[in-house]
Amino acid sequence: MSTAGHSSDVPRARRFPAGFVWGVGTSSYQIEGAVAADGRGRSIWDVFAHADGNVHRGDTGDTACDSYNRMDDDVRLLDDLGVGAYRFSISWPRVLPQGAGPINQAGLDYYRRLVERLNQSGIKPVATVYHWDLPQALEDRGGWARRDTAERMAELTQVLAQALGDQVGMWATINEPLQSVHQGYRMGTHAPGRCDDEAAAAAIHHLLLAHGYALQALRATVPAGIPIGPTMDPQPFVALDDAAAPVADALDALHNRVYLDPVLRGSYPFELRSDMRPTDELIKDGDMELISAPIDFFGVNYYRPHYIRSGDWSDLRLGETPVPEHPGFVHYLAPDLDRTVMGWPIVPESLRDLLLRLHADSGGLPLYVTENGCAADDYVTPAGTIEDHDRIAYIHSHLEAVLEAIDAGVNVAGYFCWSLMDNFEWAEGYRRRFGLHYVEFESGRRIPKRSAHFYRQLTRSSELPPLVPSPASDGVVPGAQEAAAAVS
Amino acid sequence: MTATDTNGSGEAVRTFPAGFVWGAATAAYQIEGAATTDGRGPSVWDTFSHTPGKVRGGDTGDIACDFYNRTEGDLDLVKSLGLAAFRFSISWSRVQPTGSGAVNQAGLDFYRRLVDDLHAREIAPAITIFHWDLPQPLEDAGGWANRDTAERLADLAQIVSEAIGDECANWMTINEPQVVANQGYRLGIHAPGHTDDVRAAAATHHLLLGHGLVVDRLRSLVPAAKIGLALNTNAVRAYDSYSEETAKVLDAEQNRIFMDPILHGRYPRAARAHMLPPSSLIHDGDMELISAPLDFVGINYYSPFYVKRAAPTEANVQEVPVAGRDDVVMFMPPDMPTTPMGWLVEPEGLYDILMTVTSELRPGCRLYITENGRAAEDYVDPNGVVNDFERIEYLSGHLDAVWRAIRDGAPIDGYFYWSLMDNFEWAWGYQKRFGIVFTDYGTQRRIPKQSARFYQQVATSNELRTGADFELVASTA
Repeated sequence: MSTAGHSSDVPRARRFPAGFVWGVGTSSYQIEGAVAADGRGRSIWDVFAHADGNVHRGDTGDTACDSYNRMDDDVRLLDDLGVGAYRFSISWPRVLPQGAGPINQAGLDYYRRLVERLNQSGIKPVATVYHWDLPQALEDRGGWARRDTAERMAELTQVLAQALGDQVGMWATINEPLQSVHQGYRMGTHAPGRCDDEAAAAAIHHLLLAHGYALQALRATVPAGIPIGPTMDPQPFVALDDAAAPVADALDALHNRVYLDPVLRGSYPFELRSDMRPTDELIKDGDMELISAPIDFFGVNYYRPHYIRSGDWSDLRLGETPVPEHPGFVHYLAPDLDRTVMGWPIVPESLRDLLLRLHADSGGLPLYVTENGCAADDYVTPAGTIEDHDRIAYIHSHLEAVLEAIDAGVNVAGYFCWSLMDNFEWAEGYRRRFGLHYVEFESGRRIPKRSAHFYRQLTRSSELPPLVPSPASDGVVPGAQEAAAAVS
Repeated sequence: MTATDTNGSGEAVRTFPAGFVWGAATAAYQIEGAATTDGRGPSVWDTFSHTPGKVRGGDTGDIACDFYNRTEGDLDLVKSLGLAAFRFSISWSRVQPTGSGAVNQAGLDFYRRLVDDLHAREIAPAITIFHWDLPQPLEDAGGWANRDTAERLADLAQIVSEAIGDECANWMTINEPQVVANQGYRLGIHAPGHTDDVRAAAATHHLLLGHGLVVDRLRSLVPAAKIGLALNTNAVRAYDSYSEETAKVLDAEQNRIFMDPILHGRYPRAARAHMLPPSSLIHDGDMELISAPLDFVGINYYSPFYVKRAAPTEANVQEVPVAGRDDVVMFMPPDMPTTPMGWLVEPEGLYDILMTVTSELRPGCRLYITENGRAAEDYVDPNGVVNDFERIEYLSGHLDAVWRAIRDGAPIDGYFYWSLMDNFEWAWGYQKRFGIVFTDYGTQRRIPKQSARFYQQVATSNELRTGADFELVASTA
């Protein structure tokens, strides 16, 4: 962090650029619940979560935060946080229960009401078209391994653009295609739970194509000046020794550039291993032009880096796990690295480096941090508070990294903390809490954590205050007084 | 002992002896709250938890589960779970606010009422006289490093036994003295937070002496009482032959340092000298008092310790050096499950401990498992259910170990799950949940977890069914 020019050692608040957008994020399946209400169809996540052994403790999104029935609650939380923007996603099977064909007007109306409410409250609606909950009807016909799915997403986007285009302030096409492909089609740890590299390679192209189609549909309908872009989760791969550098590059091609290059350059990376490269038959004339059509911003979801080093698979050290298909190389997490309860190392500098890289790769596009946050072992104390000082420290350190990137000339236009509230954390179920608000899932009650009060200070001041060491029980941490007041 | 049956489906039915006691355990500072109510004085844990940086998140036991104000409801809960016994401890500073002298009648009455309330529900009280919450004034006078503290504990036992002695069958003098001496006086991670080997060694002897003096006092005041104590135990395993000698040292310093004086009237030779009390502290007659015959020994068991030769190639911060060696470290065997406490799960360790202790008991001395349980990352799901299958699996495995120990001759009369409900887990605050009942601290609502239903089935049937899927109930509402 550049502190040059400071005349004393006293840490000072640092200001974000004028117009910097403060937001929070959610996604439909993680918060809405009401999976059978008002004609919603089934998504792959409904099917996946209800199958034994897929989700921790057998949790499902059937109820989640019940946001479908608690719009008032959620908008009030957003109001209290003082955020300028709210990122949410559209449940495709709520709008098109069969994935295509007849519109479910009740489902569409829900989003219409939401965006109107947000605008009334002065909160910019940021809509993600696709955040993982593919209609099961489309999966039954091949899912993302089929080109048809991308075409159906074009139809979905047209419906949304016409119904909501006058109200949505910013559009994200697809969210983290890497996870859909890697966990959904290769590892089987996310819906639809497939372990099929051939299908995965096809899914890569069709998800990107869906981005291209969605972009095209939005451009045709929504007013000029409404920003449109993808949100992705490029994973920093850091080589810890020279020999590991080519492995880190290969992983970067496989997990990152395979999505970045088509969007930013119109081609798949040369370095991508052949079995995961979409075949020529899949790539139709014009596809790459669609995929690489100009975007207005790039959304970055960042949580953690990965470290690669040389290592003996037959004599693994603590913190080492083999890099599949790269004998002699291991993922390494040093035992003394700070981690979140997800087991993810906390390395804010890696966010700075990622922003610098994407600034270069994208030719200076506006970047938004569309997701960043941490899971923590949150609990309500007998005093009624949630003392999530670890989350405050995580957000604080990552915002310092954002400031460093801005200082270095990167156009970071906003930050969306993941998440507004605890929710259904995919295969981890309700165990992992990422929220600024604690959700009591049985009652649906939302309780602001200490971090919510901290975040409100940020949105109000657009300044990053010096972080006071914590934990402490005597109220010297940011937001302490508000947290105490919220109890009574 | 009834033989096991197998019903043909791979399900084994483990029937426990008639009269086997099924209970749940708690401790005063962890559940009571009401830290300044009705004349209670401060304990070392009040002071410690209010010191910034000592307890995670700055949590304190000021409120905890508010058991002090919710006794009847919580005992109804114990009853509804089909449990026959409830283990609790006396908050010394509630009964004697300064640790000596004047009795606080309101505090004493609380325990008197508690015992009455238990009897009214046909639940047997199991009382621990000392479960770590030493009155602060006694700590200020030297705490357990001071011999006088042991005498004061005997006085407390007298006050309590005179008030409720006839009505209580099971008494435990002290709980896990090794943790007090080690975490409290040597490592400083528990109250009173000292890091002083000399004081820790003195505390070791004085805790044992306190036990002996309490046994002596109770024998004369409540001759019909069953008297014992609760010792923490860890099965110590050498992962390789290189580490076997070190494992013996660790076993001596972790287990035998309290068990040998109690069972055999001597300190273990294998412990390093600085861990042991100097002979100047050991007065004539002390070891006889300490090793006076007991009616039972209570075993608290959670996890084993593994040690192995340190990998010479790489320092590893998780592999803590053992017993002063730099070439042998604590070790987490890969693929062995752990809990959120970072503790290994190994039911066989409980079996081994029970069999070892059995071989050393005086004839007629019985055993209880006075604590056993695990933390899990529990949460109430949208259906209101806490689906803690990890805890059910832990319970099932460890009850199977208890059953096998009984089959093989261990004189075990009962089992207390730790804990009835989530509570103040010492330096971890409220983060670590051990209960079979979920405590919603913000509202003080109790929500029985699925493990409570499982344990209820075991307790009411006196049978453990292994190999069968426990059928989850749809809702606890």
